[in-house]
This record gives sequence, C-alpha cells and structure tokens, in this order.
Amino acid sequence: MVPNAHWSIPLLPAALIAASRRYLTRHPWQTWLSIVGIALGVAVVIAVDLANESARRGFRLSVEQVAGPATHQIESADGRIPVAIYARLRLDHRLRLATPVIEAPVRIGERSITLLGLDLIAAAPMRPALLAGAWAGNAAGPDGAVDLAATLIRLLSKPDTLLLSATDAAAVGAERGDPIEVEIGRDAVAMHVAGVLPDQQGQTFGGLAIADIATAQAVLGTPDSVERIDLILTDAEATRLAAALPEGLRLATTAQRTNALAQMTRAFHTNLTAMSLLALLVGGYIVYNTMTFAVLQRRSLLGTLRMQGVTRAQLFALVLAEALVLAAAGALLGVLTGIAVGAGLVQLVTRTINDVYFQLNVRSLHLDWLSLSKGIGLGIGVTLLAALGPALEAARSQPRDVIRRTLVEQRGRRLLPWLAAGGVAVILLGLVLIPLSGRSMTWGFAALFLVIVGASLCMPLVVRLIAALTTPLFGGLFGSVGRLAARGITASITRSGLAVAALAVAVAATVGVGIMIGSFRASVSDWLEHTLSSDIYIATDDGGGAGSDASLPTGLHQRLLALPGVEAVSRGRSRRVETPDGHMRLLALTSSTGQPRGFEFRGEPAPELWARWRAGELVLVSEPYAYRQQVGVGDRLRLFSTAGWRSFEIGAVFQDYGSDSGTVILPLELYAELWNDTGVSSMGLVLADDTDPARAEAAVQTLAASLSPPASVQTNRGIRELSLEIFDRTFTITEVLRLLAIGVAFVGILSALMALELERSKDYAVLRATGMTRGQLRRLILLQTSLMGIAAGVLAIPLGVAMGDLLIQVINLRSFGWRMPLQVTPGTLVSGVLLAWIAAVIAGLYPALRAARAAPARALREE
Amino acid sequence: MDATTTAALAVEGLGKSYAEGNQRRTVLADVSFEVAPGECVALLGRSGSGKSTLLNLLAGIDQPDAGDVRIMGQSVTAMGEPALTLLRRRHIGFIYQFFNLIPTLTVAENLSLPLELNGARAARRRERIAELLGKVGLDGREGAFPDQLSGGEQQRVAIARAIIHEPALVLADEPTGNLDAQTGHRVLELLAHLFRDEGHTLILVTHSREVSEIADRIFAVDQGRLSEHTESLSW
Repeated sequence: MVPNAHWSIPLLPAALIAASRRYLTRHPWQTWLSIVGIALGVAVVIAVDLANESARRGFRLSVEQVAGPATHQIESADGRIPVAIYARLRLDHRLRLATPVIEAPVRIGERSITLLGLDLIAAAPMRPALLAGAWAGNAAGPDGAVDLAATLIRLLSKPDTLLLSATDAAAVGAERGDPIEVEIGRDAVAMHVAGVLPDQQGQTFGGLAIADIATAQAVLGTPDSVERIDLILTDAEATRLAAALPEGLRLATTAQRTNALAQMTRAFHTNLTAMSLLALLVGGYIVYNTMTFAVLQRRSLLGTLRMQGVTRAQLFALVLAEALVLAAAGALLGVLTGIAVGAGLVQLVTRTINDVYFQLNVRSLHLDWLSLSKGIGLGIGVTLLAALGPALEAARSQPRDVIRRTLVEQRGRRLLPWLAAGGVAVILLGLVLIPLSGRSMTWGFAALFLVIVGASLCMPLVVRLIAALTTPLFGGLFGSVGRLAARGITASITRSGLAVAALAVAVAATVGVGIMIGSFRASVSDWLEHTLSSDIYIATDDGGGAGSDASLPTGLHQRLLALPGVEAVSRGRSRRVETPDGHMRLLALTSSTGQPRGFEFRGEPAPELWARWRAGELVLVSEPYAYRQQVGVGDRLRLFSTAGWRSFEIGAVFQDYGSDSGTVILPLELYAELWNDTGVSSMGLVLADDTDPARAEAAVQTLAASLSPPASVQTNRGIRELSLEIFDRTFTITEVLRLLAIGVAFVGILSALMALELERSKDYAVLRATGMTRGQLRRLILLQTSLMGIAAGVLAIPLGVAMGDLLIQVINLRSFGWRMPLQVTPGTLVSGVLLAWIAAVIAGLYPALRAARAAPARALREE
Repeated sequence: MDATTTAALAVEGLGKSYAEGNQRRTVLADVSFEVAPGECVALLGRSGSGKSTLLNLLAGIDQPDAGDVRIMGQSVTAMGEPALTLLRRRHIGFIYQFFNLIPTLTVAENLSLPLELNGARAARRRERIAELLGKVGLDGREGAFPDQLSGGEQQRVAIARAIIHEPALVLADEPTGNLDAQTGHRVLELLAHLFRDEGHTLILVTHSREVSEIADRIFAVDQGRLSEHTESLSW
C-alpha cells in the first residue's frame, strides 16, 4: 500500500489540474469561442451600464451645474414668474441667498448647450465656485493685465455676452472676446464670449453658457419674467416662505425637482438594462452549452477518473474551476470591449435623452468602478451558474461510463421525453409567474427566462423528430450522404440537440427583439396615422412642444380659416405640468368640430365624455400615466395650476406613445382660465376634400413666414416621418444591443457546432477509410450543419414570437406603460431562419475542410 | 487456501439479471468463489457470457440482485458511493482493453494521478514512477503523451498505473484485446512477471485461452454460471 495514504488529499490534485489545463489548450477554438462568448455578454452589460451610469452622472452634474448649491426653488404653474414678484419676495422675506433663473437649450456651433441666465450679483454668494472659476479663467486679459472687474462689467453691461466653459469654447473655436452665433430654436442671435470658465477638479461647466439674467431675458424674449427662483434656505425659512407664497407659486426642494426629472428617464434606463441582461442571458446559455459540451465530450475520461478513485466532489470542482478560468478570461476581455462599446453607447443614450426627455450638458463616458465590478461579477456569476449543471453532470459520471461508451447516448435519448415534459412545466411556471408578479420588472424578466429555459429543454426532442422526419427527404435528395447527415444528428442527439437549442435560443432572442421593435414601430405609425387628424400643422418656431412658452400670434386662427381650401382649424397648447408624482405633459385642445378626433381609448370612457370634457368636468389621461399611477376612469388627478393645486376627474384613458411620463388633455378654455395663459402653440388645419394639399401648404407657408417670429409648418406626412425618424434614433441603441446579441449567438453556435463536428473526426475517418471522397465528406458535414441550422431557425420562430410577445406585454409595458399589439412580419421570421442557417453553415465550414483534409489513419488512431 | 487468511476477494451467491421487454434475462446466477492474496485468477468466457458483468460487480460499479462481494473482508455491495470511491482509489487497480489513459496527461502524470489521489508525497511519487517505468520498459518516456505511444506502450503504461499505488486487487478486462498477437504476447509476459514480482492479486477477464494461461486458476463463465477448470495452469 502507499504509505501515509491517510494524509489530507487536495481537492484538485496537480495531475487533474494539468489534465484540465491541457484540455483547454488542446481545444483552442472551443476555449477561445467560450471566452469570446462570455466576453461579449460581459461587454454588453458593462457597456450599457457604463452608458446608463454616465448618463445618470451627466444628469446629476447637469442638474447640479444648473441648480448650484440651491436647496429650494420657487416655481410657477405656467413656468413664468414676473420680475416684480421676485423683487417683492426678495424684499418682503429678506431672501439674501436667492437668484432668479432662466434656462433654455441652445446650440453653439455643433454643440447643444444650456443657456443659464442668473442674477450674477445675487448668485455670487450662492455660487462661489462658478464665480471663482470665472475669475480664475479670466484673471489675465489678452494683454496679460489683471482683468477681473472688466469681465464682470462686460457681462452685466453688454446685452450680448456670455461665459463659456473652456471645453466648449475650444470645441467651437472661440476665445474670450470672440463673437459667436447662438441658435435659439430656429433663430440665431449674435453674442460675444465675455470669458472662459476653466474646467477645475471636481467642477466642470461643460455644456453650460452663463449669462446675466437680463441678457438671457433679452435673447429668449421674456423681458418681464423669470423661469424660477433658486434659493438657499433653512427648513424653518422654507416653511415660512412656502406659506406666504402667492397663488400659482410653489416652493419645491431641489431634491424633489431632481427626482421628478430623474423619474422621466428611469423607465428608459430600466429598459436598456433589461436588454443588456437579455444579451447576458443568451451569453450565459452559451456558456452552459459550452461547459456541457466539455463534460459530454469527456464523459468516458471522467468515468476513467472515477474508476481511479476521483470523487464526485473533485469532478464537480474541476468543471467549476475550468468555468472560472474561462469566466475570468472572458470577463477581462469583456471589460476592455465593454469600455470601448460603452464610449459609443453613451453618445446614443444621451442623444436619446436629449431627443425625448431633456438636455444633458455632460455626455462623456465615466468609468464607474461599480459598473465594471457589476459586469465582471455578473459574467463570472452567470458563467459559474451556467457551469453548475454540467458540473453536476460530471459529478454524476459513473465509472461504468468508461466501459460502455454508447450508454451516455442511450441514456440521453431515454431522457429526452422527460426533459421535454420538464420544459413544458418550466414554460407553464413562467407563464403563471407573469400575472402573479404584478408590475415587477425583475419577476417579469424571470418569467421570460423560464420560458426560454423551458423551450430549450423541449428542443432536443423536437430536433430528434425533425431529423427523423427529414431523413427520407434528405435520402431522396442527396442519397446516402443525405441519410447519413440526418441520422448523424439523431445518433448524437445529446450534443447535436444542445447545439441546436443554443443556436435557436440565440436566434430567438434576436427575432424577439426584432418583433418587439417592429411591433412598436408599427403601433407608433398607426397611432400617428389616427392621432394626426389634421392635414397641415402650424406651430411656434420652437416646435410648440411641452417646454415651449412661445405663442402663435392672436388672430392667426381667423387668418388661417380665411385661406382658400381650409375647412377647419383646431388649436392646442402643450406644456409641462406638476403633479404630486412628478412632471407630466399637459395638452390643452380646442377642436374645429367641438370634439377632438384621433383618440383611441383603452377601456370604456365615462358616459357623455365629450360634453363633460368640454364643460371642464373631466380630463383625459394617457395610458402610461394610468398604468404607472394605477388609475382609471372615475379616479382623480391633481395638477398644479396658477390657481394652485386643482383636482380633475379622469373621463377616459387614451392610447399615447408621445410621452412615457404621461399626458393629460384639457379643453383649451379651462387651461387658459386655470393657467392664466391664453396663448396657443400649435394649430391643425383640416382641408376641404377638393383642395390641392400642395397649394394649401404653400399658402400656409407664406403666411407663416410673414409672422413675427416666423412659425413652422409641417404637413401631416412630414410630422409622421419626423416622428418615426426620432423613433428609429431612439431605438438605435436597442438595434446595437440586438447586433451584439447576434454576435454572442454566432460565437455560441460556432463553438457548439465546431466542437460537435471535431468530436466526430473519428466517424468521418471511418467513412473516408470505407471509400467516401473528400468532397462527399465535406458535403455530408455541410448538409448536417445545414439541417441543424434550419432546425434551429424553425425552432427559433415560435420561441422568438413568444419572446417578442413577452417583451411587449411584460417588459415594455412594465418599463414604459405602453400597450401595443404583437405584429409579426414574415421578413423577421425568414431572416431568423436564414440567420440560423448561415451561422450553422459557416460554423460547419472549418470542420468540413479539416475532416476532408485529415488522414483517415491518423484520425482512426486518435482516441 | 488457508482458512485463517482473509481472502483478497470473496464472492458469495452473486446473481444479476436485466429487464428485456417484459421478461428478465439472467446474466449471472449464484456465482461464488474466493481469491487469495497474490493469486491470479482468469475468468474465461465467450462474448455475452456475463464475464464483464461479473467484473463490474466485483469493482462495485454495478449492483447485484443477490449475493455479496467482499474485498479484503469489506462488503462491496453494502457500501455507499463515497466508500466505494475510496475503495477503488486505495485497493483496486484497473487495466482496460482500450487503455483509457488520460490523453491530456503525460505518461508520468498519468502514473502520478493515483498516487496524488492517495495523498502520496512528491518525492515518493517520483521514486515510484521511475521504478514502475523501469519495470514496464518505458524509461525515458515520462514526458510523452498517450497519442505519442504505440498501443503496446499505452497498455504498459496502463498496467503500471493499475499497480502504482499497490492495490490489493487488480481487475483486467481483456488487457490484450486491442493489441496485435505479438504485442499482446509481450504485454502478457510483462503482466505475468510484474504480478509475480509485486505479489498483487489479479482478476483477468478474457475470452482468450492464451491469456488465461498465465493464471493460477481459471473459471469458465458460461450462460451466467461459473465453473472452475480442474486443470491448474502455472506460469
């Protein structure tokens, strides 16, 4: 006997580790593809997380830049506070640390910048960093002389001056004293750079142009009012001031305001995270597939080890250790790729936020260690989780596996119906989880995961059936080579079934996301079709959106009606309003027909809806608002008006894809009364049936151009095209993620099929030895991979449609509150099958060439 | 055999059958025999006679329907999986028809594995590997991988691996079945000399009368029944 056999035995003896290491290095393709698969999954998560975090940080910094150290803001319901009220409040309440503020999005050169108007004297004690920066950057004038006072005097006295950050100034090629053109809406205003703010440690002014309040009022055309008042107050001061504010003004804390803004993009960020997790999920499945392959391929070897006394725990640890090595390498590669991809994604994310929500001044990639750690942790965690099954499978290896090689395959075949039955049960569990999980995104995602896992468990049995059914067809078409190709799949179903399932899941993910985007786009297009009920729209020059204060000239309504061919004109006012739960969009309408058209209601509206709406008794709310706040017809909604908080009864919930933060619709007359605003920001023209639309549009264009300031004109079709363009831009990032998921899928199938085909080298050698030509062997392998690809594509269709449906009905609904019908185009399905087939054929190319080149004697000898 | 000596292997009333459709096919019926320490026993039989099933039952990798197998006095049939693993690791060595060397380990590493699993120190492992490689005539091939060896060489490594940890019992399943006649003969000679030198107990499963001739005793397995050849063959 071996002496000292009772000594403690290491968990993994050196020889086992060496065997494992050499297995990985002797299968470089498989090892690298696994690493790349994990890396892509990690990269997607890190890239999206970095982009999300950078956008959030950009948002926080943008808010901090604009709000400064203010603790509170005085806001008005109509977004305008008369200068006289500011002056009175400052005097009456001795508000020492208070400054009026105006902010507006502008463009300087190619850069989107926030113009921030402040009372520079009043703001000085509140924003020492800003002013210190201003002086630090402008201490020396062009001639080298100290020029502190001159900068301030220039800003205060010259009506066309502003301060730019050093980064922005460099980007637009402007220096102190240079003239610049500032685009405000469609207008361009000539201004001068009074000074340049240096980027200091911990304080950046990038994306901000600071002007004196009077300058901002002048260039923005609001000479008598400011947007809000920023203050630094103690709690006691805040309580006293809030009680004394006149009607129509309210005191909000900076945190409330920041939260309300953050709330607007929360769904957007959540959805992006969900999409990145989907990519990781596909990546995880591929890791599972890879590790299972590694175990199945070595089944006989594992049996030999068990015969020699290697314990189950040691085999379990061995497989997990291999997975850990792959995961660590994949995570490292994934971090580097993720940072590179994240730099691109952050531009897409911030562009979408700027397009849809609000302007972000800070848009650079921020390397957040938490995001990197999260990506690495998820990558390693998912890999280990995915390797758990194969590790358990390895631990279950029986010593007798070494003696009967066909036993595994036979046992696997017997297990197929049970696996499929288990799969159906898992799918049902997922489906049951959906209604039980309420509105939880996490559980919604868990349900999606269960459906994917369940479907993949059913796939090997279906693949076996497909292969059995197609054997006569392939035999008829390609002779014995065709029969061999089809039968080869059933002969090694434990592995071929797994490879097909991996490809099918990956392709289904891309089909599902494609269906989701397609359905969404089609729904938005349909919605625009029935919502845009006028033929031509005229709006204030800034587009008349929710952030706009501008109005169309009084009397324009009549002038438009007088134009030839104009049958009716409807009017609208859009603005952002406060609710106790944050901002929402208010749309005040009046209709040419007395009843607004183009609404599609969700559920039954209140009786006599339009009459009661016109009477101001009811309002309409959009579906996202109703979903998020869990309100419906008969419930009440509170809005902050110039007359203070007002409560409205909800008369109907309407379909709306315009804003995920919610829209409320009021009659224009009621809005004018409660918000003290008789302005109109857009008008819709309905043309008579016999009118030439081009001539009518030309007439409206001429009239709009003659207005001061000129108004913008869009046809119904123009607005639809523009809206869909913004939609496509918003979904660019989702498309990028979809492409990355396809990348993960391709790597996965390449890995699985290559491993499978390489494993069959000996069988192919036997065929070559019995007289099969190289060409016949190549054809056999490519036929086999083609059949597997097509089977995967066919299986991916129902799963892809189910995933698309779940993404729409569960993930999207819970993210944004939008409901939409599932719309499947044949193109999406055909492209899914083609993708699977092409991926499989490409994956089969190398093994086909290798097998055809191999000397049969050598392959036969290699065991 | 001396009744006071513990048998290396004792088999008592062993029975095994498999389901075939609605019926059961008896593979082994009431098999009993004992093997003394240092003895070499051959189980001779045609394909399908039940000899491989018997070997599996002896190694504890299959469970009998009836009877008991005792190795060094310990009942294999009563053992749980962890105890069986330990038993195989410490007391049993295997020689397979298809060698079953670990392809990703060198010759020395293949030999080292059973020793490592038994917790032997590195110095002891090196010493024992060198000793065994010398005995099987593979000096200087420590660094070779299995696919760089001929079939005969691979089987010699497999033999060395089976005895390197000095097991109480070595089970060999058709050890020359995958070799040509000349190589098979050399391997058989090696097996006979090695086991005589090291004094291991060997159970040899074979269909070849030539192979069985190296055994002290021969049992014929036919239709699940065991009968001892009265004619004793010596080395």
